[in-house]
Amino acid sequence: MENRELDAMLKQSLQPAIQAEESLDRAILERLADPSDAGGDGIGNDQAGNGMTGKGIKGRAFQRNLPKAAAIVLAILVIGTGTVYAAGYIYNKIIVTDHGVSIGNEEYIIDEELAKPVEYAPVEEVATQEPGEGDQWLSMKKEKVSGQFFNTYYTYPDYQTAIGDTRFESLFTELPGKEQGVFDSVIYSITEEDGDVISYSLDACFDLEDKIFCTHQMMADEGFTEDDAFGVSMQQTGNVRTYLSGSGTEFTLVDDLEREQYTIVLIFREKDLGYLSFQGFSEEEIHHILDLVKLP
Amino acid sequence: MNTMNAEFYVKEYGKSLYSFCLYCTRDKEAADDLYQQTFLVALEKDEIKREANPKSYLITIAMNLWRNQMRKAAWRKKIADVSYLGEEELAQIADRGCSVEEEVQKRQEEVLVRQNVLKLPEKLRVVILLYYMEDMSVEEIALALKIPAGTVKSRMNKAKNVLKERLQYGK
Repeated sequence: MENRELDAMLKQSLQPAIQAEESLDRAILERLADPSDAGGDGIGNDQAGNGMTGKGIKGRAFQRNLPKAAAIVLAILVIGTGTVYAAGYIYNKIIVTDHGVSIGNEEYIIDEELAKPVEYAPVEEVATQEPGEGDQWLSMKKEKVSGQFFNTYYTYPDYQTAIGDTRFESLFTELPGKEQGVFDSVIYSITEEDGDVISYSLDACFDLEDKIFCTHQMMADEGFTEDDAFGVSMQQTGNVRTYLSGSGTEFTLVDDLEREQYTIVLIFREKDLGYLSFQGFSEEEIHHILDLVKLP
Repeated sequence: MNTMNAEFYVKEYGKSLYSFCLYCTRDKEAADDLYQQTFLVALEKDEIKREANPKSYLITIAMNLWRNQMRKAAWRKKIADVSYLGEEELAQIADRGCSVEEEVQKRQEEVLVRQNVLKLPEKLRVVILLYYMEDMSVEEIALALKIPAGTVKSRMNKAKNVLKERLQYGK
């Protein structure tokens, strides 16, 4: 078959010929005509009212190993391209919507996305590995997801070891509760698509009796741009307030009203961003931990 | 953006965008979502009026949104099971005034081409769709996908080689 022949066939066969249903177009136009259907626009100023309740627990893969840990899904809204900046330069506003708390370009923060219930995609385990001499991690597992992504997980014995062995910097000037407990599970993961690294993340959970404190740090391989957005899904946000830490950093605390004593704090630094989650902590205890957070 | 302007863009570019969404996602429900999200993002931003090529702008947003959804799959979120488009959808064509026999043969060839395009791996499929369905140039595709023009050409060649083989030998 000649190239010209194939070109003609492709051109003819792929003519855009399929129209969306009228009801879909109508729904789009109605939505655009009624901006009050949009999400919230800032701290304490939530205008969301689209009626979505976002029921259902979402969970991160690594939390299968932590039955008591907070169950959160990270809804990554990363879109677009543009000049790469340090996270702290462009992410300077917390956006709270009905079903999540986000930072970044608010054009791309879609509450409906955050509200969508998550089901786990089937994964294919492609490799496991035991540590060799000199390796600081305890185990490695690699999985293929949705046929084209690879997640590689390294489990570490504690947060400090992971920090020393990965590209992440510690979140803390002093490890919270170091005299009371250790980080229960620390997992460093690398997400790749066709051999290209998309992101790195470091997840840790600290289990102290009936309280659970978790951290998530993420780094995009290509850096952050003004078109990016990052959000954490919650079932129903509320009780939004701020706290000025001892180091002069203002944090925004958002509760998930569907869960008991459950608070999320987004964090963003020069090279990474992420969140802290608190379950079962009093406000004072949360403030104490936030005083230990290092945001250069 | 006022309703009249929004209606203009939906009417003018809807078919093109929806077709792309359908072929990109290969699933009607996902295509509906992507189509809706794309218009909401594009028209709420209201920058489309300043774009020299609104269609390309819409397609780029759809691409970015779709890539974002796919990347979320890497965080173990389920993507709707891919259901390849049925022959009915693939066979939608306008009346070209051919004889019935010619029409049937053309329809069969076109369905075959579409089916094989749908089977291409995503990276190859997308460049084919952007070039042949959306009439985007190699440079425009490179910009939309954030890859070098050389990579676009290489993916197109690879896609066409695969298609040639499949169409010729029925693999």
